[in-house]
Amino acid sequence: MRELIEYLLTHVPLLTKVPSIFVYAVFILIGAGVVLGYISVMVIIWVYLERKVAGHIQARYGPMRVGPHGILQTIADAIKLFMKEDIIIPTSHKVLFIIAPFLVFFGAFAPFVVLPYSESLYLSKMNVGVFYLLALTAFEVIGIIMAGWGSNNKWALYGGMRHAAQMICYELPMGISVLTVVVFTGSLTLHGITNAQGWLPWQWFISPLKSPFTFIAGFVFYIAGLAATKRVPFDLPEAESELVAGYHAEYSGMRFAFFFLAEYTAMYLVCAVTSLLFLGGWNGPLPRAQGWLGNLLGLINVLSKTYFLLFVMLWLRWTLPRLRIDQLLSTSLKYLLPISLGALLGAAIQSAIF
Amino acid sequence: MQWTSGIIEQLPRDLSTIAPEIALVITILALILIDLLMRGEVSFSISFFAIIGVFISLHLLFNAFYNPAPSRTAFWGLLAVDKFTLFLKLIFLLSTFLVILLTLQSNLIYPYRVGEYYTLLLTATMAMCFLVSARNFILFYLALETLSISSYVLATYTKRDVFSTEAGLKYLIYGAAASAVMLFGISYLYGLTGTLDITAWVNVLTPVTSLTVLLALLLVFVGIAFKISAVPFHFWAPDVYQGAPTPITAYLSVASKIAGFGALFRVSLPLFTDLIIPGSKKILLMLGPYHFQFATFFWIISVITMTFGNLVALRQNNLKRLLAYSSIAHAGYILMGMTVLDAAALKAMLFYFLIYMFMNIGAFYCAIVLENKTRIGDITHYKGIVNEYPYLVVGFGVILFSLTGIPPFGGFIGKYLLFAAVVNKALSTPHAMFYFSLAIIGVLNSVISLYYYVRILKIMVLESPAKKIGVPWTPVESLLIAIFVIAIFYLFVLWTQPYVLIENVVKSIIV
Amino acid sequence: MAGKEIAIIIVFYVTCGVVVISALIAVFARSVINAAFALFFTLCGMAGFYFLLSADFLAIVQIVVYAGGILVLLLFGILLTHRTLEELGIEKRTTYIAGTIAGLAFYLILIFIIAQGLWHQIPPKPMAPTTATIGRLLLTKYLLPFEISSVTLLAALIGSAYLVRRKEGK
Repeated sequence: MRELIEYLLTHVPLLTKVPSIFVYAVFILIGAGVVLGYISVMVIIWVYLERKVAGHIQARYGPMRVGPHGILQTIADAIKLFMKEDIIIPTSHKVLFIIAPFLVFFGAFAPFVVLPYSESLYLSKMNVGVFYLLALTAFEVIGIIMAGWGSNNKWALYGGMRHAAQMICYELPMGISVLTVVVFTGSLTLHGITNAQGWLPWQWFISPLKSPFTFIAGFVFYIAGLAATKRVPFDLPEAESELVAGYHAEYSGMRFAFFFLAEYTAMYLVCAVTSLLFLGGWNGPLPRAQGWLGNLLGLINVLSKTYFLLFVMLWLRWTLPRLRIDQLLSTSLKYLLPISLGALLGAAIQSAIF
Repeated sequence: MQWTSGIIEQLPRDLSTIAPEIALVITILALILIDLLMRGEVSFSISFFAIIGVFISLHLLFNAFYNPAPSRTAFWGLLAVDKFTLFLKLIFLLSTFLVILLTLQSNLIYPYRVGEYYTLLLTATMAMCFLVSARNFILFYLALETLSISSYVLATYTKRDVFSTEAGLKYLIYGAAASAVMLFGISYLYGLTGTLDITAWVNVLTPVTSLTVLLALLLVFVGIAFKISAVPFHFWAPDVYQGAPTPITAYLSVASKIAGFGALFRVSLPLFTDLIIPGSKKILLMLGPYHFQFATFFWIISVITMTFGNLVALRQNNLKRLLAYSSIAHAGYILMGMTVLDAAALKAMLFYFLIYMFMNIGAFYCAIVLENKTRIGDITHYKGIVNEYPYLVVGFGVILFSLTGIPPFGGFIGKYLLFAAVVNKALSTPHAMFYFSLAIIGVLNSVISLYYYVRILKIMVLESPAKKIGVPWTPVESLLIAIFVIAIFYLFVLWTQPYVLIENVVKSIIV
Repeated sequence: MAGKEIAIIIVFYVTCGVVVISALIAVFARSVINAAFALFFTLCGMAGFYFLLSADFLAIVQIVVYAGGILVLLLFGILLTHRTLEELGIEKRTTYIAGTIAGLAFYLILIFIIAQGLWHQIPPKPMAPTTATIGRLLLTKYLLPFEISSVTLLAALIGSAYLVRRKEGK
């Protein structure tokens, strides 16, 4: 992004006449708009696919009525959401109730700044990239607790608390398994990590041939990611059968849409990061190319891996039952955390010896 | 990998300078494992391992003492390596050993798990060792926090007791506030000087310095004054000393307090004197037309601390609370030495630490025995206890007279050296009245303290007993009391022996 | 590039506003939970300051540790306690006045030091990666504090585990 702006600033004569701060501001807004548009489209497609996959796994059709094979169903749903009345319940804590969806959405949206799609297709090459990704989950957690408390509804509060407990537990193995990779790359940027992996599958960090420890860490990261995004089997914060809808039970219309969007964005994010950290990112068995073709191939590589992982998430959703809260906590603290610590230790030894 | 090149050569040498602390850390880890393997069944054996760890550490300490390290600093100048710190570490390890003995005798810790107890005790000891040898404020603050965190938990260790919980909570809240204020001071000093190295400040801070440095230093002293329970920051001490399990009270009032003084030395010696850095100008702070010197500051704190401690102690009926105020007063006496802060005063303070350790831990040992026998902490319930436990009362009497500073006991030598240092300073400076008044106030305070110490003995000896207690006296108790009494007499009769060592120690840092 | 400096100044004052206002809310809020939520914005604002001072790693650590860790635990603790805690407050006037005086005195001291101090100044540096430097310092000059901090954390862990343990197994 910065390189692009600097290129334009030096090569387009019109831009040199306006103060550069405006150029930066405009381009930053354009970048944000692109990401926002991408997220919205991606979520609309993804919700449609989720319904279809869910239907077919359960041997039914899924949405069929709106448009051919129900393809316009999600768009119709989105329009319905926009048209709905925006209810702020009178017993709620107004300020918290209103801020919460924005915080959650910010936490899900801001990480896109550092996600690269190819060697030169990215917004920012922040040098603490992965760490930044982990930090932003804080906004999501606080937002969800805020929503739970602000709604002044005990089911919402339970949902918020469950989410807080879940995040505290699962952030640890998640961070440690990221460290396992960082031990080998010596870089916190997603570029550095992706470039440390070759273009063949056994040169990726998920491959036991590259390192058995990152192989373990990859699975730990993905499982912790499932929990962080509240997906089945870790969907306790919004367990429909127990808590109505959890922390967003009292939200409607656009405010609900923010939560909804944030949730799917977070799912996408976990999958994208997993694919970058462990599955080689834009490196893939496709032939390599330079220039825009290289970018396109990188994009295809990243997206295909991401969407595969997203598909796995759906698959798990219709395969596994929900965990109890104690099982959830012990899964993290008694199994994932020691395993990831062991993997980190092993990775440190491996990188020191070899 | 260029940046690793110097480390490989330096690290073994540096690590050997912290061998006693490493032994403590290994003991801590071993205790956790032993506790885990034994499932907390055999509490005695854990104490045994803790004592072994302390002895190994002591052994390594003596090794370091007689084989001085070639360099005076270690770990890139973070750590001071000299006999002075080794002597303080010796006091910490000895008092930890004595506190472990007290713990074995106390009935308070017994119903709880002991593995965690010894782990935290040794962590606190390790932190003290690092605190007194820190030359850099990063290490200094970290060690202070480690000490504080372990102390908070130890103070609330008998958690089913409401008073203990209250003690821990109060200690935590006051401690957190004091440490936050101190951190403010450190951050300002860092901003003013651009370095965290205490000795490097000497070159940066000019001799006649602005008020800002004074205020920043004052903020740092708040944190230290909290640890030594000097008076404006003493509020926690009576409640915590009363509520905490008695061995921990002994530990806090001796080891933790001396660690606070060690920290005070670390900051004061390079900044206010030219004792350890030759030619360093004393920091003289300009306050309008007046010259404000550090001595004035310590004079005020010292006088307030001892007077307040002694006067409030007069009205106490709870033995532990009384001893708490008495230990505040003793902090005041030691601060007299900080006012003078020359070689003689340093020696006097080190000697005072030694005797204070035996006196105060001994006094708390007597409190533990009385607690075990009567289950009451109130002095008025100890009427005529001499008929039943004569050894205890005799031993306690020796300890209390020594705390007062009366001639045939070791406490006298400690106080004598302190007063002598003050008077000598008075005779050699133009500000004679400044130091004479301090000595006079100190003597008056000692006289006041005689009243409440003797009052305990009067109740125990002269008043008639209400009823028989009937808990038998054990030989172990005689033995432990004998240890303290012998130590106190030894430090009176043969005081020159440790004093020669202390002279040697002080000579090693003074240039 | 003057535009960039203006942008930095604008960002600085906006961050200042966020930090100060949310800190005031955190201090004066009647309910504990509002104070905790306001603290979140203070902590994020502090991270913003670190970013402005080109300490990127520290800024992220601030968010991860304080906003993501400590504050979540704090909120969790508040949510688990009884609702009536909300009504607790300092009602006694004397403590209120004494607290105000002490706080103001301390505040004035701090302001005085900041206003009068001859601060040690370093020339402003451009934004550069700091992670590697921090890592190197932690393994060389500050190796000892780095290792001691692990013992500190161990002690804190053992202590807290002991204190919250319901059953005292012998």
